[in-house]
Amino acid sequence: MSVSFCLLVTGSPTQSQAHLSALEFVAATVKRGYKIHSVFFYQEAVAVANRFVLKPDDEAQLGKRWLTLSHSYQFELQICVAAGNRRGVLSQEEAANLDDSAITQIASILPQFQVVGLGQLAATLNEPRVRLVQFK
Amino acid sequence: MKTNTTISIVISQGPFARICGKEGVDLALVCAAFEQKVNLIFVDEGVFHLVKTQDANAIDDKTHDKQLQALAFYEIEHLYADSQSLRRYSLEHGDLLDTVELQSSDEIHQLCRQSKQTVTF
Repeated sequence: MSVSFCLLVTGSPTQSQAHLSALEFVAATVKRGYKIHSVFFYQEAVAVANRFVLKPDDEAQLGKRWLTLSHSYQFELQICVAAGNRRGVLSQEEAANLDDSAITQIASILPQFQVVGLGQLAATLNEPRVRLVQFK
Repeated sequence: MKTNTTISIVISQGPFARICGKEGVDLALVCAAFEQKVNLIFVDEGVFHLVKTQDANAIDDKTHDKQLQALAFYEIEHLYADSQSLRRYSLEHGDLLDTVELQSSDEIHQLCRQSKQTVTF
């Protein structure tokens, strides 16, 4: 089995080039015949999974681009639950813990992103033929 | 199948302006729990995490020094600080937690090169 890549994206979608670079990296990697194992979003990068972000149509829609690539090349988009919770990127399960009953049923996260713990990243790094690349 | 892996986690941001240090330490703890060998390395303003005279009462939040002092308990054996960074801020080894080992920038570079992975915060 050949090498596959785990991408760790930590940079903000609005204040860094992390997502654009990572998206280009995925395309180039797949083109050369390597597999993407998974993409893990941590720190400010989790904001890309917020479905309440509205950007003008003629600007890069980073969340949508991640969805398209993960669908085309069959890799998981993973969001750190603790990092998401700190930044208002919540699954429905997590939103249920909010005090405000008006919004406890509303998930702010795009459903195609998997909410996982940091342990998921550590487990991926323990796999023998996975290489980690960070984008910040 | 599991292989023995070393991960270097490098923290270069100070303790209070950004959350980078806290999230870096969180990753270090989880990696240690998954039986990775962790080098936790503090450089640049990151060395301020290791100062042992921080007062949590002053900021209505918690400081990291207590958590960092307990790292050996979580099987993170090595806590490194960059000696050049200490000099830049007029800090001395005695200002830092007792468990901290000083390394030169070259030595830190080597530690990262010898690790399977390096993540920076």
